[in-house]
Amino acid sequence: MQRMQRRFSWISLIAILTLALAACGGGTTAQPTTAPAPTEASAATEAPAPTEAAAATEAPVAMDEVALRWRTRPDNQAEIDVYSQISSEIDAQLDNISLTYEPGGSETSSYQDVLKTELSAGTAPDVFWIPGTDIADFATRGLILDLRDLADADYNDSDFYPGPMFHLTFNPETGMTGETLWGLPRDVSTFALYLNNDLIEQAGAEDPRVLAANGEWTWDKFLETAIAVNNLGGDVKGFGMNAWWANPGLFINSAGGGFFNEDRTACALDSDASVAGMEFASRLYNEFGVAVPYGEDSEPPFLAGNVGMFLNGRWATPGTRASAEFDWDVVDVPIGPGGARSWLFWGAYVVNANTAHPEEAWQLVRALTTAETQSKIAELGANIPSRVSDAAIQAFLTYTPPANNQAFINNLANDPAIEGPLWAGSWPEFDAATGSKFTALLNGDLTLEDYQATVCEEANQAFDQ
Amino acid sequence: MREGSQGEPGSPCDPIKGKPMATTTARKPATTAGAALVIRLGAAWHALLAFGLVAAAWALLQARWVQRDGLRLYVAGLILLGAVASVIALVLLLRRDGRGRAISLGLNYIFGVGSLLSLLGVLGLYISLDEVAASFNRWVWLLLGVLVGFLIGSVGDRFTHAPTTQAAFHRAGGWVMGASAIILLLAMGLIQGVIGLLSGLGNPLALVLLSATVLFGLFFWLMLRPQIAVAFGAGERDAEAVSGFLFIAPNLLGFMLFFAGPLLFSLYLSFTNSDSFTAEFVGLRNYIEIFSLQFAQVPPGQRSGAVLSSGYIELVRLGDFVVGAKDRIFWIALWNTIVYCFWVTMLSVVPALLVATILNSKIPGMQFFRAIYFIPSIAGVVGVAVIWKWLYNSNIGFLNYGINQVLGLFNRLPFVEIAPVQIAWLASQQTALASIIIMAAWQLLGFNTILFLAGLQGIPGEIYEAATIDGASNLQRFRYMTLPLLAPTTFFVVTTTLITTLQVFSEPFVMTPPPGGGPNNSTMTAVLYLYQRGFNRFEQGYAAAVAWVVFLFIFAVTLVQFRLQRRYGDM
Repeated sequence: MQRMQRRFSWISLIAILTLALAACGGGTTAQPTTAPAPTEASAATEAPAPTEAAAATEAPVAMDEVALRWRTRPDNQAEIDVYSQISSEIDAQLDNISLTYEPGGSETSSYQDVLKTELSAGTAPDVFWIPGTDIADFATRGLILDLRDLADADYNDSDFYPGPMFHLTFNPETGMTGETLWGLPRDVSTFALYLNNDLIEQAGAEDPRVLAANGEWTWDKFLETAIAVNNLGGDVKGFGMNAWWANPGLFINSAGGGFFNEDRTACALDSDASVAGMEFASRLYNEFGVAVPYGEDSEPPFLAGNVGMFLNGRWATPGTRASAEFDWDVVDVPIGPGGARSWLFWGAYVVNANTAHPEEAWQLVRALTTAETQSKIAELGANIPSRVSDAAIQAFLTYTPPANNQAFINNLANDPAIEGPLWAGSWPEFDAATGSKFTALLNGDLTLEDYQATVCEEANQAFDQ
Repeated sequence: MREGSQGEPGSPCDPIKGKPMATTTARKPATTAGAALVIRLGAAWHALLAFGLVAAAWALLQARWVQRDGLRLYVAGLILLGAVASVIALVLLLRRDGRGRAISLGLNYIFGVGSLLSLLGVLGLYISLDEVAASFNRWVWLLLGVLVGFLIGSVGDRFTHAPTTQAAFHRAGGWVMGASAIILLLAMGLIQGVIGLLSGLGNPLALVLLSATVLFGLFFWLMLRPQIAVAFGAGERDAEAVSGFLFIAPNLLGFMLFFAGPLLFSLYLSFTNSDSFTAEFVGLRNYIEIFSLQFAQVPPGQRSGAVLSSGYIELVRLGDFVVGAKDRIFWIALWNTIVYCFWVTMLSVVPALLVATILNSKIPGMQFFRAIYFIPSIAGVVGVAVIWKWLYNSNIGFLNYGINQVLGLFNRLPFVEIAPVQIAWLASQQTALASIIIMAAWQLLGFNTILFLAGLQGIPGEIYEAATIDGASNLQRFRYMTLPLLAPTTFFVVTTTLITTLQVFSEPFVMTPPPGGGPNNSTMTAVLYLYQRGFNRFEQGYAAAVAWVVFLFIFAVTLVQFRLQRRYGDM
């Protein structure tokens, strides 16, 4: 018995050792022409791709090729497929660069959290997308590379919308713009009101698209329409918007207010104009009761045909195309006392500060933001190309439904408020502090007076002292 | 009888086998010339090791390429600790003190394993494991040869009457099994592995690590030799201790590396302003900010901002008095956690006891209901939370739909007209926490029921029979027999439920809009808050401080519970 045990122990030990030896060879799955990651590669390029999808798009790395990993945040499988396809095409175009595309998480909160954790651990991709609000945080922490010195002669900042480029070229040390280059915008987007035309017609309300075309699509008309639809009764609601900063922000902007003071160094949500915007939004919920409760996802009831007007960005288009079984379209955001000021949302491809291959990473960023690449992504319907180009806009207008794509372009041209980072403070802290106040006001847990008195109390702590 | 117990107590023995040594005694350990040389070499090795570790710590502190200051200090501190231990081992070895040998064994073991693991990392073993696993899946069918070999050997067992034939079958089976295993390993890339290993050893770092592994292993082995044990007067208990430590060493190392190490690191982080990229020591600043409270009187009609110092925000107002806090959200989160903990414990323990009492009865179909009640416990929290989130949806959720259907039935009655409700379960500050409490209690109920059921089934039936004969009613038996006899189970159920609920994270994270904790912080819990500070805002030093406060709070609650159990357990 003892002899058997000893023999078994030896056999087990030998098996483990030989398996470990086999592992030292890197397995046999690699192609004959492949080589391990370059020895000088930083940790940023060392880690294996974390997802199956990434593995599926991973290309073999030739001996003289530089391996780059890149990541963006797609909202659905269709976007993952398009980005994977684009990755393969760029891989074929770029000499000596081998690409691995990693789709990031689709949860709003977790994408950046995961990314920062990977940056901290040294396993983040070489190139990744981040929302515009996060540019300052990543840049001031030294997590992303200033690409200005790498920019080619044929590169021009003015090829892209100036709003995003203001922040992407902002130098936090001098406070001047145009001095740095933190990345290039992947796309832009604006808000629009998604309409359930069936409900609006059933309610006997005027067609918002006609009103908008005549310049009569005001807050009053918007409220009238919402009330009319809401009066249909049952589960039907006149209006819906989700609980995040941009939605209440639309009413604040359209009332002539804003989140920050002029130099973005303090909270301006307690200004009379900003409060007027929130007062109108609050009345939708608390006085007229025409909205889906703030804090609940309004998209499912809208797609189920229970909401007349749903405020959202271009990214909601693919889901609406796929799920809405009613007559739908979009219309410009309504005109408030300060105009019809939508947001200009954007996000950018940036380069990991620890990448071992900055020049190749810059080439990849350029390739990901060409007119051709952006056009392919825009065709999906999720966003608008970030390049200032009539051709791009004309192409975008053909990507229907919705029939009234012009609403997005109108909002883009109508002096939108730029989604922007806080160079003099912490955006996540500001967002957390103001978000709870928005919710409290819109749910009727806070009076307008108390809101005005306290909304900037905590929010101002987010700014550098 | 144990092997080692054959010798006299305290007699020196083989440290591995525990057999007594014939020629030595514990009182007068004899040292051979060879043993003396090994001890001197061991002392020299520890001198060299201490020097090397100090140099490594210094180099680490000087290294500009290590960006994470906190981690650098922490690792440098651990290395210096090793250097101090090495110096102590050196001194004690020269004094022939048995503790020196123990420290030497420990150091050589830890650094030997560390060197080996690092070597494997440098050789790329860890990043290749996935490929080996994939390769194994591809070639696993070759293991059928092992099965065939085993069957051939088994056939030989039939030839008990012909030993030569039997041996031939066994040998043939062994060869087939061995050949299959070798073919499998070759297919998986054994040869490439050997080539990879040899080429990897060309890396100077790999050579250094290999040399270190060999040296640590060598000195560990030398210190383990019986002659050395004799020289230090090691007795049977020492031998057993060494063997015991060797057995638990892998687990102990894992505990130190993956639990105690990070725990201590988080304690260190709590005294820094770490954002995970840089860290500066800030002393107690994080803890001071957490606990900073201010009490002030507010004249009627005036806002609290006018009386509170800068940086303080109103936490709660009690009449004319206001309590301000520097970190208001922490206190809200702590209060929410306590409320959540209290109600979930109440709603999942008391009903669980009643349900368990019913399920303990001998009514047909009870097995089925036991399974039904247990199902929510085995479902994942996130999945359950997502489903409940949709149930709670005010517009298209089943809960409001069900309520309105019931109201509709009432509306059929004459003179009754109740308007349909649209309760914003998760969107309203008034109902959000309660909604999450209901969901969590529902999920915990089944598990607690099973625990109570096990406790109930452990109570002897004879006691109930005796009580029945004595005329005790059902209620009296439950009050005076079941409850006291279930006290240990109740204590366990309450303690585990309290600890679980005080750490609540997933439910509010999933059920309320990102980043969780809404509406208006009404579902913000302590762990969710520290997650947000640590990962949304990347204030990991502050988050670590919050984590330690939460830990101490949970520890204190559990301690009080233990004390109460001891005091009232026998009642």
